[in-house]
Amino acid sequence: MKALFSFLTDDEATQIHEASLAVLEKTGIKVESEKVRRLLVRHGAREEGSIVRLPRELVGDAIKQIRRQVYLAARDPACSLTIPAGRTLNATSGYAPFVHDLETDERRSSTGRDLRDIAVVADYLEAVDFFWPLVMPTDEPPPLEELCALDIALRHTRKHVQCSCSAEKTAHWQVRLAAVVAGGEAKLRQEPIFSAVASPVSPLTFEKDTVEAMVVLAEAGIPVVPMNMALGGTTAPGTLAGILVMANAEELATLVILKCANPDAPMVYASDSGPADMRSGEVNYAAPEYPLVGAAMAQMARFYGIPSMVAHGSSEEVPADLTGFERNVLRVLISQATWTDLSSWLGSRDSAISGSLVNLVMDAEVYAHASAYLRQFSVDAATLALDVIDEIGPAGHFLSHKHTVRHFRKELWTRRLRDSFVLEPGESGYAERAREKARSILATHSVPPLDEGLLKEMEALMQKARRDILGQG
Amino acid sequence: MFEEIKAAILDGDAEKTMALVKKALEEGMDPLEVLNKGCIPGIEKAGALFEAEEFFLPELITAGEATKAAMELLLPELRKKEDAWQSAGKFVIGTVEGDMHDIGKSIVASMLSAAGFEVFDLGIDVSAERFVEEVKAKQPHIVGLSALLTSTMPKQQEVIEALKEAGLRDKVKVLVGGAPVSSEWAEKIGADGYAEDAVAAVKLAKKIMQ
Repeated sequence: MKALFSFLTDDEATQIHEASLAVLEKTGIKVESEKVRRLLVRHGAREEGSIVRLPRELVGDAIKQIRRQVYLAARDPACSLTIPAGRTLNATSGYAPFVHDLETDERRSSTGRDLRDIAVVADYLEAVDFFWPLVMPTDEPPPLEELCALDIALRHTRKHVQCSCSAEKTAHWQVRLAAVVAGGEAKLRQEPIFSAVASPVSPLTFEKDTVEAMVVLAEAGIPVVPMNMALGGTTAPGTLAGILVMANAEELATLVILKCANPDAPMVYASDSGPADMRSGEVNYAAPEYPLVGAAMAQMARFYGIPSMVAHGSSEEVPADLTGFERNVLRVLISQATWTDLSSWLGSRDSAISGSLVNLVMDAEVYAHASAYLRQFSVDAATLALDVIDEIGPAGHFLSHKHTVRHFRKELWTRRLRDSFVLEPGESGYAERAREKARSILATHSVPPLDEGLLKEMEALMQKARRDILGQG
Repeated sequence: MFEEIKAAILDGDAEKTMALVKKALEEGMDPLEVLNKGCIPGIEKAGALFEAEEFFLPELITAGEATKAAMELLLPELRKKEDAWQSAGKFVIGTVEGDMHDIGKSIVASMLSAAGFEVFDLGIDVSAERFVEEVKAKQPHIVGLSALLTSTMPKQQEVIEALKEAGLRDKVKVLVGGAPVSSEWAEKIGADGYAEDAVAAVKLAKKIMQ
């Protein structure tokens, strides 16, 4: 028993599918890597300059090879995840170049130190199932940022890490670095402790660096998450169905590339698509179409039987009052009700340009409220409680029955008001509450460090990677 | 042994509590010591956890019931040495006329018993005349009046007036409680006190008995 927010009829989903196949076959995709074009051609694609056309049989074969379950292992096995998990698993938002300082709330360039703090707080927060580096270590040289983000995340959270990857060399070193922690590349293949977001660029374009990274990741058995961003009106047609065709065609094209590299490659069908703001041309995260497109994309993923991910639901702002808080709860509730397998959203600010510990803690609080509405009822002999009802009988009460004692904490809302951010009259604001909590987590929560030996090995490897990526010696 | 009794009470395990108390008595332990070092610390801890919002009603009540069960074993033994023991106080309690709400009043009664009070629970829909009769007969130190409806709250005042008319008002303290009741209301109708929940009621009753 659960709510499920659906968007397309079965017939409409089939139409989106057919239209996407037509786009891939007739219009084709632009692949800016000769290596990857050759790979596709070997599998039956037709090449014309940098355009590659994908026959429907090729796409059909890739769909047949879909892995219906994807394993997202973690440094600490207790944090490992398998999707679908029966609910949406949530991550921090990610890869922002700015951070709102915890103490001054000023927006500034983010550093490795910020990312470390965020990893520790995310490690603590129950609402965070797996970790996206919320901000990038921009104090590192740009070509190293993605690798350093993984390095920092692996050290400072026990949870599965989903990092971004947009270059072949980055992919190569990310795999090697994670292999150190996992215990070798063969072990990493079985226990992928990280997955990677590597995305096509709408419309229908695969950049050289990113698509070559996709191939390296696929070969290593690392789950790839192509989180494309087809924006209605700018990089996709200005219609909801048009956005879906574009976004779905790009997901299928990525699937084909990954499966050509490794028929066993795990992929998560992902979407950050939605409407563009028709005044500024930017993504319009606040528009109602954004969660609607996300819901429809999740439905397309279910159509193919592939696990899905949609980035959505972040509060983006710290509310000033209860009404604002409740609006955030509603927003998260709607996005979680689309029942995608994964979502990344906690801690985002300013349309995901910036990350903030205050927002992270607040979003976790918002989630605690929203998720209470999204539970599945457990209906069985123990919870139906026939014997108990009979024993108490009419006009009695259940307060002191053992059955109540055994079940109420799990089944009924018992959150203490003072733990909640729902403010009482005269109390200081939400931001202050969240800031205090973030400070206290940072002061008290410690993530178990990796073994000394592993840390040394990682350091040595990072030095080699720096030289290789920056081209020094 | 005392720690085990305390733990069994905190678990709300009446059977285990009784078994432990029985064993303690069989081994010749002083019943007063069993009460003061095992049962009372157990129920007081449950009350403290409830006040700290760690415990919820089901846990508080089952702890109360476990203590009450232990008291039933201990009372006859305690009475045998009457010079050494007296109850924490006599307490008559009931829900006022026209009001059928039982649960809150019963929780308070149960917690009072657990705290060592001798409790006479008159049940629900109790008339002012019946309260007066019972006060005459039982000669309690305190009488507690429960009302859950704004429409039955005035009955609390009627009971107080009836006690005055019967010349009993200065012989007994009157406490009031119930969801719509407040300390302002208690003051207005001339009651001796108001308690917000069962734990507060026990505290207030103990304070009165000092």
